[in-house]
Amino acid sequence: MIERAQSGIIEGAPSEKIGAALVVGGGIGGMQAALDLAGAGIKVFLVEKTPGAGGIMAQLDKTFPTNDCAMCTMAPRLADLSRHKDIELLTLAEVERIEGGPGNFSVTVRQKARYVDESKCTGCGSCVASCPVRYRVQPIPEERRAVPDLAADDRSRVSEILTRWKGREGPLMPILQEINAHFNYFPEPVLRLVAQKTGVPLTHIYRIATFYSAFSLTPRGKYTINVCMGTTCYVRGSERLMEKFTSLLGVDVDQTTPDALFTLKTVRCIGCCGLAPATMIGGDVHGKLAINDVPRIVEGYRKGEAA
Amino acid sequence: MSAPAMQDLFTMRECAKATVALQNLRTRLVVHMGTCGTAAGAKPVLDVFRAELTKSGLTDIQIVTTGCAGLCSAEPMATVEVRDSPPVRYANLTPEIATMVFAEHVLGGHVVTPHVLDSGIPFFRKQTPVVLRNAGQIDPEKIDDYIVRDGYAALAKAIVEMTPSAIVEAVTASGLRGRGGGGFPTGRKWRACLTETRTPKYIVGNCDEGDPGAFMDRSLLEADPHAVIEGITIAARAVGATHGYVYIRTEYPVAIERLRTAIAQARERRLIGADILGSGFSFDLEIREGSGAFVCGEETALLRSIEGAVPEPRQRPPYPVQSGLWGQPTVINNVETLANVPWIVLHGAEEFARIGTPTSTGTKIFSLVGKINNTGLIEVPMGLPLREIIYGIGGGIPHGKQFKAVQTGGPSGGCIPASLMDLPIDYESLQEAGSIMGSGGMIVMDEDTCVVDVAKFFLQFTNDESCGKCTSCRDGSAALLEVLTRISDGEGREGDLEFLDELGQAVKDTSMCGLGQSLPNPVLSTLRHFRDEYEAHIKYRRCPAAVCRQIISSPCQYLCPLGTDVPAYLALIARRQFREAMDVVRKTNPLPLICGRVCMAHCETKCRARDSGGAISVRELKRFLADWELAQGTPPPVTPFPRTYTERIAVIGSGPAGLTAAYWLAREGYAITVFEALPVAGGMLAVGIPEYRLPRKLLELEIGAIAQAGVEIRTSAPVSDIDALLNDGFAAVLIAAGAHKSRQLGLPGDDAPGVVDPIAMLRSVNLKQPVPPFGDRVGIVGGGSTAMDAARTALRLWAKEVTVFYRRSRVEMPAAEEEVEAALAEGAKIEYLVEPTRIVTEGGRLRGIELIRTKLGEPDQTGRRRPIPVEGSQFVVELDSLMPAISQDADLSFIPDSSGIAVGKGVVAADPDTFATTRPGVFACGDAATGPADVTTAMATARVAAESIHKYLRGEKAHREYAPVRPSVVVEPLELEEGAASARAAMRRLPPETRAYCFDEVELGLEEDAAVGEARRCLRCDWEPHRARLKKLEADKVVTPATPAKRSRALEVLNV
Repeated sequence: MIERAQSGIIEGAPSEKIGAALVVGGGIGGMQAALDLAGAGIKVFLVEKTPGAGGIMAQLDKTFPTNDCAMCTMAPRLADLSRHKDIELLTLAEVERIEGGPGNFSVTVRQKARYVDESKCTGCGSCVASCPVRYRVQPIPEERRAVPDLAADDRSRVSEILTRWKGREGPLMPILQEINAHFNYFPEPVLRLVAQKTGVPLTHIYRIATFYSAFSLTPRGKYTINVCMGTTCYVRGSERLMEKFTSLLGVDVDQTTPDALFTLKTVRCIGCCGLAPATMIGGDVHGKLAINDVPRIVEGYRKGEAA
Repeated sequence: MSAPAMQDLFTMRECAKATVALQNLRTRLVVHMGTCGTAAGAKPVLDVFRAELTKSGLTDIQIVTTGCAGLCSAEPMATVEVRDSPPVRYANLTPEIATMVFAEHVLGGHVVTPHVLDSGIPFFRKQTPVVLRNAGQIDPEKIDDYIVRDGYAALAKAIVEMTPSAIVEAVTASGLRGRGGGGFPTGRKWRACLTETRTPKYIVGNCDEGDPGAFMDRSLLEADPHAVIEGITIAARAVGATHGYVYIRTEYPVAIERLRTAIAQARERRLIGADILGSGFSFDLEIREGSGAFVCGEETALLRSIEGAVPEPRQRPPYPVQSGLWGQPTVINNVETLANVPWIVLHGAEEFARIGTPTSTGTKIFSLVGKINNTGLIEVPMGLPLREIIYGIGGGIPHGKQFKAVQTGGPSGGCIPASLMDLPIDYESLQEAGSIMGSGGMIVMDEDTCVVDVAKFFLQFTNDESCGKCTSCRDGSAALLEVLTRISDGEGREGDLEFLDELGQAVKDTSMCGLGQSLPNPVLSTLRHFRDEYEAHIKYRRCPAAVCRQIISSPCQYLCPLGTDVPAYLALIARRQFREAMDVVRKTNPLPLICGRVCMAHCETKCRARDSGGAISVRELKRFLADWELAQGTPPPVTPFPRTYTERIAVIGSGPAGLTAAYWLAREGYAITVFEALPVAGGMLAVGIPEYRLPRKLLELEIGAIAQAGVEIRTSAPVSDIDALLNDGFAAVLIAAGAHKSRQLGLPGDDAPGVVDPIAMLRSVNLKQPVPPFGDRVGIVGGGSTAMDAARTALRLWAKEVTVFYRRSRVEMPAAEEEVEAALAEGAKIEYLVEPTRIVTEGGRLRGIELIRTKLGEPDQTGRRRPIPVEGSQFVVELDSLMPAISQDADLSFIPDSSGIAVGKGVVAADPDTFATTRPGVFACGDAATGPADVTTAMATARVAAESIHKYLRGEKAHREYAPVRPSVVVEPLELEEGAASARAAMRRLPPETRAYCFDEVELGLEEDAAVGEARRCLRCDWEPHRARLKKLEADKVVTPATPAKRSRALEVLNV
């Protein structure tokens, strides 16, 4: 389809200035130009070759030299652009011919076909998820599958879990949770085994395993010390509690003590706000903690371990 | 199908009742074992009860464990229910108290009154339990307990008597709205699902309660899991779902376990599963655990988490009712919403709608936490004013502090400031105030909470928890956090606040799910209500609440008007390096002997050791140091400061302000002359503060040292003409004349004989001049230091009866706590909450004073609660003399209008930044410029004024640099050891019976070991900002990682 973006309201009167402008290119420069022009009361046509405005900057995380977040610069402009009543955005479009002269150009724009109805698209991204080109599981042929190196009882535990959840709805999370409960972390061979048995790609399992804070890809201590950093605990001084734990155990947050006894972590609210500041060690909740209580509590677990 | 279902349940209930009756219980002993109870120590208490029961061998006593009863601050709790008498609830139990309760109450029948929690307190009285109707009453692991209390009757009714559409109709009519935060009408959601024709349909109970500060869902599931099961089953019946999930976060192990047990029991009784109650309706329920991701509370993310997909939210529509789990119609409701359903079905929609407001019906559970006396879970009707919640149910703010704001709705909500105290708490009002209902967390903040810090905290949380799908949320939260961190670190820039506003709005507009759309709320709402506090951080590098660490370093150093590096000298005392400690004190304070005795100790007011044995006695430790130095022999010889400039400067007044300014200016290299009107130097220190608080000898020593340093002090040399001084060759003049004129009460009879000026009286006593007799019965009006000094001095002279009248209560008294206690110990009486209304005279002479009782109203600008007179409560006290000690003014008679120096009400008008007056070359500081204040405040103004004078004389622009507090020297902390005292060191004092007759110093100071023990208690708040800076230096490769060996180098860098 060829559309004539002819802005001349008065046909055949080239000497009249017609109060509309056309901007070619919908990158950050083009967008700003369009917004400024429209702000000055001029009707703007913004022509962009690609399916959406944004240009190169939309693909950047940070911009040189200030390290400013690119999207933070762009997002408000994108929003303004789509909202502005005097800006007409023509995406998937290219300029073919320019006629006329200053004050009254006639521009011919080629609008390319689109498979998505723009008025209906909400930007949900579901089309990406269901695109047949991606998201096809490529099974590894039997002969090329590595045999995970696992102790016998671990192996039987894992296969017991996998068998029990076989064929049930949405089994991945419960499987991972049970494996996590058994190992206290995800050994790589186990994840490979899960991928093989469930047919879920390892990359996907990896995304899940790294998304949730209860999961870890590295071994953790026997007791996880979860210092609650919920609002109430924070307001009541849990940060100083955490400092005491770090100095006492000699490890930082998310690290494990060399004796593999404690892993220090923060947690966002364990729902014990009435007893703030609180800390959860293993399954025990310790409430109303004072900094001076910390050495005694840690010693308690150490002694319990030695006995 | 109907008859058997009802019959089944009826039989079941009768059986349950029979079981309970069969036990023929005399006493039921209920121990509340929620997560909070257990954390507070309920387990040992339960063990004691069990052991005692076994020992007693009785069988008609039953021990029951239940969920939380709501009042977390009183945990561990237990309730003793003796048959035919009302239940008695015990609070704050320990194993010892539990033994006693068992022996005396359970066995002996006598209530142990001191440990009883009055169930008539507002905390319980003002609540309306609907959802929590069974919480703390039933054993959550026994289905019979639930059935006996009408449990599952609603389910039976819904199955037998109602069509699905009728159930939806009832829920719609009840006006129930989502309790998880959104507030979407539940009935409308169900209707949408009901009309979907595709099957299977799913129903999901959302218990991924991620909002910090909210724990109602946990408590609900721990206390009454069957209510949720019943609610979700009714919902399934209503919308036609066959399978359901309850999604619980993994951080709630107890809740998960109890729900699992409850589901198993319900399945066994055929209340869920196939063919429920023989009706042919089947529904099964499963638990799914979260694994620690906040975003999973968002419905679309939660559904994806159940599916095993990456739990990122997706765009809506389509809503889950159209396309939810595996693309099927799905209803997802918060578990609290679902627990309302059985009540609505059983009692009717109209009954439910009667509670609350027309648009927000029913009740809401709030978790009331933070700086509030009664922390815990409360269930109140919607629309209850905030004031009722904070002051009624919550019992107000601990330690009498001032309420500042309440954060509702967790990280997605906003702050409601104290000015909106009367706001009714419902969906619409909260939204208007810039916050949201959210899941119902209510975090109370007092004056010690910094809003910038809180906003930063929430942003850290949301920045962590942003799933990363939308750029505006992922990077926007990071950018917001960066700016907030900068402000909180004292590095804020002009324009930052506008940027926060703008970017916050953009993130709101452009994010896809609720997390991103609401994450700027804490910033935007605090900016809206507390903009001045943000500005204080940026413009003055001050954190009014004394929280932001990189600004304050430590609360004591920050609050000291002089900025004395308290933690450093405490650390040095702890190491017994007294000389070095004294050097630290002297860096900022030329009068340590004096300040060690009469300083108001601002540093102790926000000491964090308060929670572990009391604030550190900083003043006593300073005094210990100064006394120690004195005991080493004569004070170290003072060498006069070298003169580097030719200018001479005149200082009018030799009080703490005048002396301090003279000291700093002399140190700078100027020639200083101090003019003192009185025959002795020292100002108020010499003639206002009595000898028993500050011995003259010590005062003379310190003034002597300043004189030796090159300051000329002329006593009995009143200044009458500032022009003459300037013409006389003084390049600058500093007015530090103090405030020595007592303010009168402003009542008729102010001048009557018998009304005595307390300042004049103290002056005469201190100068050893004759004091006009003032009779036996002395009345003093006021509550500050002067009032206390006047009272104690009067008692030491010849007064038999001294009464202090103060218009507020003791908490608000400006006088130091020790002074008030000392005055009381020496026999003074204090009448609180009275205000003088009339001076009673007879024949022109004072007879007494008429007073009116007051009560405390709202806080005024000073933050103290305003006294309001109580009508008709006047009474008269007969007196021989009356001393108004309400305030003092500066005597400015020596400054004529023609001098070009503007004066205000009782003070010289001086620029608060530079202390310059309206006349070039003339400056003013201390009480003469600020009105009556304490010694250290006066000294602090003097130091600023001295710097301004120096700048003025050197031709520099007079402006004040504001900078964050930095330590003067970095001292590594000793580990907290056994050697540290466990509680605040007690000051040794002369016994009241001895001291009340003489002017000997009352306080005797700390012994060396006591002082070292006290110093060791210091928590070294300053060390963490050091550590943070050290880490930054390491990251920037300024220093190598601080191994112990290389630490000294790192410390050197920090010290620069």
